[in-house]
This record gives sequence, structure tokens and C-alpha cells, in this order.
Amino acid sequence: MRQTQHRPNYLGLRGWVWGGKYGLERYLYLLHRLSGLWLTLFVMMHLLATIIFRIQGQNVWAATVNLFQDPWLKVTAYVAVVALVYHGLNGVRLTLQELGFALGQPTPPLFPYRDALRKARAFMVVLLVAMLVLAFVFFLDFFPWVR
Amino acid sequence: MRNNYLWLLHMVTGAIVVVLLGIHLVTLHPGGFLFIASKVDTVMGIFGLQTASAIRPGGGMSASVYIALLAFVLYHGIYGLRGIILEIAPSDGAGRIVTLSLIIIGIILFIGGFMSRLFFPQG
Repeated sequence: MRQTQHRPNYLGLRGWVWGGKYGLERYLYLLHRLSGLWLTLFVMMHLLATIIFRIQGQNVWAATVNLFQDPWLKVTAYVAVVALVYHGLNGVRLTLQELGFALGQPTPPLFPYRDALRKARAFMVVLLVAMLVLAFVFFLDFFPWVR
Repeated sequence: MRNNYLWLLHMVTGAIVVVLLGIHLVTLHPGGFLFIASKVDTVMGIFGLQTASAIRPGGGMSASVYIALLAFVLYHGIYGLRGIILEIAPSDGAGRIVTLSLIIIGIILFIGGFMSRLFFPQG
């Protein structure tokens, strides 16, 4: 009998993007990771900047707060907020599913398979609408005359 | 078993962070997203509440919200980052070094944030 060498099912970082025929949930998972990484980096930088500038006194802190009005920093913050909205709402979905909710009725595992996104479509639509509304509300911040 | 509890804590802190970071964005963010606070106050004012104003800097809750947010967001972020790094860590030893390094970074950031908030409350 032909012996085949064992190869661990390990694709490394490439496997995040492509490891075969991924479904929509897999890409939501990828986006969840990327938004989480961006948020962690942003929070650490935000925290370091806050600590460093805050301890230098009221004047330095006031100047730093004004610096946050810089358009490039606002875009960075906006991307972080969009990432937060996505990560938060998708996290709520994942947590509910982890606890056994929003999975839809159990069905026999027959091809073509239906994942939880399609079984609980209404729930997904609500999350998507909430995500878009929140992203839009935060985007209004770029247009002072709308406030 | 311990990993199960850590994972459960990751989920719980995630839910809490969604709420606290929402409060942070609405009330504490300097200049950027503050316009939302007045809208929240307008809506809650119907019920006689001034929720957003009550937790702004200078209000009674701001320091406690900040410190709770700091602790939860650091745990959630660092635990998530650890999980991703451990997937590509070449060995268990490297994984332990990563875990220890992240714990140290988290503790330093928490102490730094905590001290700066308590002793230099600039707003």
C-alpha cells in the first residue's frame, strides 16, 4: 500500500484569505480578525498618546486635543470607528451563535449546505442595517453643517 | 479548562466593551464625535434624563467608566491578539514567551492609563 506523508492542515497567514472554497461566514471571520487587529493597534497607540501627552500638563493636553481635529487623524479615527461598529456587531452575532442562539432550525447536513447566515437571514439583515446606520451617523461628523 | 474560562471572559469583556466604548465615543472623545452626545441627551431628555452629560469628563462616572473600559478593552484586545499570534508561533516555548510579553505590555498600559487618569485628569 502506498504510504502518504502526513501534512498538518496548516496554511499559515495565506489560509486567512484562501484555503479552498470559503463561504461568506469565512470572510466575515477574516474581516473580524483584521478589524480586531486594527482596533488593538489603534487602542494601544491612542492609549500611549493619551498617557504621554496627558502627564505633560494642561497646555500640552489642550494642544493635543486640537491636533485630533487634523483631517488625516479624523480619517484614521473614522476607520477605527467603522472597524469598531463592524467588530462589535459581528461579535454580538458570534457570541449569540456560540451560546446557541440565532442558528436557525437544525437541518440534516445535506448538500447544498445552508449556513447560519442563511438560516437566520432576518437577524443578519438587522445587524447589517444597524451597521450601515451607525457608520453613516459617524460619517456625518465630517460635515459640520449637518450637525 | 482554564482556556475555556479565558475564552468565556473574552466574550463577556467583548460585550461590555461594546457598551463602554459606545459611551466613550459619545461622551469622552474630544471634539470628534461629541455631537452625538447632545442627540442622546435630547432623546433621553424626554424621560427627564441627561445620560450623556452625566458621564462626560467632570461628571461622577467618567473616571470609573474610563478605568473599566481600560481594563476590559486591554484584556479583550490582548487575548485576541494572543490567539492570532499563537496560531503562527513555531513552538510552545515561543507561545509562552508571546503570552508573557503580552501580559507585561497589558499591565504596563493599564498602569499607565490608570495613573494618567487619576493623577492628571485633564479631561
